[in-house]
Amino acid sequence: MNNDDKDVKGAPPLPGPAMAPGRDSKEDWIGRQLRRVFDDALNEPLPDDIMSLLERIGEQPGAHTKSGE
Amino acid sequence: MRNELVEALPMLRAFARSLSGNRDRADDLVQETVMRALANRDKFQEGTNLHAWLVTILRNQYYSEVRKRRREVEDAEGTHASRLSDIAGQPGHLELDDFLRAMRLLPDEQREALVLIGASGFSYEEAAEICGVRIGTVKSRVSRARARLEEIMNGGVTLPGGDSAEKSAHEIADAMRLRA
Repeated sequence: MNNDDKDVKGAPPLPGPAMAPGRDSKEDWIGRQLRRVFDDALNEPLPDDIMSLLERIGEQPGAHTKSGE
Repeated sequence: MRNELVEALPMLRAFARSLSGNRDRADDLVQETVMRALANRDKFQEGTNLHAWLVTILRNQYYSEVRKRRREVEDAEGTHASRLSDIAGQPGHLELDDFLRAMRLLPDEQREALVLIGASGFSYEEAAEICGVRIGTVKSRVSRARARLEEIMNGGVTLPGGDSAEKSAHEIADAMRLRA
């Protein structure tokens, strides 16, 4: 018969300024997905052909590739 | 330059993938960019921003390919729309899949601005230099891109031509509604 508990439970956890939650979260969603696509690629190991390309360059500090002359 | 180049590669690749929406194409772009960067290394000014320089080379390469493809194939919409989903593939990536398809519906230069600012960590000033436009143009591209993505997700898009593009916009909108 005590209504106090109910009142407490029903109280809104966040008072205050209406902040168009739909809009905000959607904007976050865009930013999150952008970074997710980007970071996924960032964290993947580089493909072998690029690495071997770079290794060939490393062996030839003179900046010339073998087809040079 | 080699070590700095190696350090820059993951960023370059992530940018390429976000821009092109395709793994293989992104890797080709990175490889081509590495070759060009090395061939033109004397044109790079020490002390300036190597990442921005590399991204500039890569996006120029990308746009010249886009122009070439556009001349060659008029098919565009359908293949593009399906291509962006290449990245998603795995289960649990449904959200990402929607996003990638929505991204594909953006004009290239809007998507580019969004990726440069929203993910790559470039400043507006750097992005403007990379794209060869004014800062205000970058800002407006980013905000138009965001507005457009929201519009697509809310289902309020009318797309010029291309049933498949329109269809995927509807599918995205449906998926977003289910999620809400």
